[in-house]
Amino acid sequence: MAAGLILGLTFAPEAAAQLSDEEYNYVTMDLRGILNLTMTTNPQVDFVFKNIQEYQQGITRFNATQLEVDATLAWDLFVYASTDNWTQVEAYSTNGNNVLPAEILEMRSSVTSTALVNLNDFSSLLGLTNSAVAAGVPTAATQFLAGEFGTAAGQSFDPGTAAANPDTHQFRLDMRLVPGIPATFASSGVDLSLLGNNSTFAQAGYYYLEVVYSLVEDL
Amino acid sequence: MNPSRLCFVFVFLLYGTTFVSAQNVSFEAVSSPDTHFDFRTVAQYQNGIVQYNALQLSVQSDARWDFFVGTETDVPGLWNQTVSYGSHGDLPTVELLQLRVRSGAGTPQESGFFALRDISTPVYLIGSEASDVEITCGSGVTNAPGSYLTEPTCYTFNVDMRLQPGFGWQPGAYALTIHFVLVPDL
Repeated sequence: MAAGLILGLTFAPEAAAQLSDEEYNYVTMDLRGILNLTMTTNPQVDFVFKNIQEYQQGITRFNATQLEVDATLAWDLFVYASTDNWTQVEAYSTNGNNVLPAEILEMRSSVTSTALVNLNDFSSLLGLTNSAVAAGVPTAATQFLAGEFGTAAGQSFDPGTAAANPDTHQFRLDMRLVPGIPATFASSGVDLSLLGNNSTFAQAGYYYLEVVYSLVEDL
Repeated sequence: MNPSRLCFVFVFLLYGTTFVSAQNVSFEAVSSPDTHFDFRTVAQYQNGIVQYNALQLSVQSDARWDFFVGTETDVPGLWNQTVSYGSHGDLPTVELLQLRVRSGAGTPQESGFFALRDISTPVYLIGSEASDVEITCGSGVTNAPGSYLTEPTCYTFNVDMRLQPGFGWQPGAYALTIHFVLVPDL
């Protein structure tokens, strides 16, 4: 009995002793990749050619479109027309060619791009086929406003907000159409005689073209 | 056995029991839910998310004590990635997670938000790695024996958590464990 008492008391101190204590808190974090592209201007840009001077000199819309990018990861921004040609809504004449390629629209970006195909100076906007964008995925032939095709260093723009990075995350895009007389759009380099009814000048009418701006994770 | 000898052994063991119990330090009445941070907007990335009173720890100690905290992850200093949403960016560092440990009497040595580190180089909230002078409740960084039951302002700690990731980290789901340790002052 005495031995049992001694044994019991011997183990008692060890059972009661707590020389330290620890607590654990499990913390989880979900970092969603965020890419926000905001157009701060009216999404419709109108060009109305009503007189000879406007045909000859063309019309330039400075800051026609302004874009802002907020991104939490490296990104590219590219642009293309959703079709190869302008869509004619209404014809005002029976003369001329009603197939006007997207490339008659010239654009220029305020942000310098290092991509091979860019809009650093006034350049023709590439139509869907010429832009080589397939199912929304760009290629090296695509016009990049920021970044370029590829994921190597320097081929994307850094994460950040437009408010904090106005020089790189805010885009002011100028647009220009110069029909000329006759309206061959020669300054853009297109050759209307190769299209439609092969007429060398544009048919008077009302046309529209959809321009796509695509912000993507660095590709 | 001689009854007097048995009595002596009993007294000796009782003394031993009392001596060991004097080293008893423990967290009591712990409220420690898992804590989740979900970043879905740019503003949340920039401004961060704060979880107030994410955790409450109550201390009871029969000895002078130290209290420190650190993180545990597979790679010390980096969050454990459970799911990846993209290929760009770096794995986030544990320093992104900040704690603010408050007591009613303002006893912790770190008064504001501080960045967490790996548990191998913990942040001491009470005491230090060395032996410390005993400080009683009401006199500063309290490390004297005591209990949250009688002096809750010095022995109860509320923990706020803040995560302000900023940009450039690889999108994904991450996890880490915060390790709170209470030990007798050595």
